[in-house]
Amino acid sequence: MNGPPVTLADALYEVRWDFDPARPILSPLVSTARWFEDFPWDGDEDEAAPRPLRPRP
Amino acid sequence: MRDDLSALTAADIDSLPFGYIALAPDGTIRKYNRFEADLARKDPQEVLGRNFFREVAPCTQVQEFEGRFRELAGGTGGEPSLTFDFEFRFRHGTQAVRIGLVRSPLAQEVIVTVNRLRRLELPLAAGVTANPATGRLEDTAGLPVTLATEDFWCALDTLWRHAPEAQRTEALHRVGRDWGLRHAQRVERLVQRSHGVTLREAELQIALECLSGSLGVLGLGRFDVLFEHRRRGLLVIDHQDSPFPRLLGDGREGGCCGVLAGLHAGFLSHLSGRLLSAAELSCGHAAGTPCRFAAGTEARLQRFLRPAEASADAVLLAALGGRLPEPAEVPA
Repeated sequence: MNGPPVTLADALYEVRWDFDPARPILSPLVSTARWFEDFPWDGDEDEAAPRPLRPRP
Repeated sequence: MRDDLSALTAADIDSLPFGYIALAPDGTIRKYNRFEADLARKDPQEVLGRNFFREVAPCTQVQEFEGRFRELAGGTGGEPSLTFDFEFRFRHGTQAVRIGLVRSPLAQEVIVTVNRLRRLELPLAAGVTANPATGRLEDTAGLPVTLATEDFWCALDTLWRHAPEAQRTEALHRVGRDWGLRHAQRVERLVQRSHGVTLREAELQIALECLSGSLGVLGLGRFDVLFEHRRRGLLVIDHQDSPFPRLLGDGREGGCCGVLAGLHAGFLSHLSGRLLSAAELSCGHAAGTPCRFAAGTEARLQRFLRPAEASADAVLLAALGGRLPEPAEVPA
């Protein structure tokens, strides 16, 4: 990477926050936004476990 | 790397943000996920049933890849898993990757994981200059900087040290999440400057590496996210070299990395575009042991942390090293 190093404190100017779904993704692989798009946030139904838990004292 | 990779469904495998190939001991491809298909530009249907080393990826017919695979598949290698770096030579170019091999107890097969290696070279530096006349610190852009030493974290801890566990956890989570959201925004700017994409447009693994690497600049260790529990609505984070067990660790209940739990919640909230929470499942007091966190929506996390007895969540919580609640803590 060329140029002087940028510290973490040098931040928050000219940052583009919007994610444009129509913008071509550079990588054909999974983008962060696509990966989270159909994330099952509620999870599966909490079905019964196939085996018993450790015995309680 | 864990062998629960071998228990994933076909849909789980396709949702992994890294390459996943299941091979029979003779190298026949049994499973081949979408990420790997994109990386190698292959049609999964065309490679299934073919020999990985002879017909699909001839560049792997070398001791450092096929030789290691044979040793692991034959059970002569001792360890059930191993990791090494390799360079794939595709028709469309080369790609540096990190290969994981896991001998699966199911169906006598070896799981191959493929993570792309990228030289991110984020221009992060901790360099500051001091002005002794004013007592101010400035970074290379001329912006004022303040430094917080480990004393700060010890002092902050005293605010809630004697508070009930639930209150302490909530307060540290709130501090950590706000910090994580702000820190992710700083990293966002650097990534946009360096690579011309937002973190959400970048590959998930790359975005996570950016955030993980940025913590090293602050002396806070690094982390990996495990994706195997996506179907359950959970992300699991293994955080190596957290300074907090050393600074604050005294075997207290609920762990001592509550602020890191919040930090991870902030990071993942930034990446997912959804407000998330995280909880510490186990604390890495011993050297080389990571602190483990689970992240998800607040509602999902609360269900996971207080599972019904003998439920799938209870089994998973125990398997991840989390503390099972006492019966009185579990809602009827």
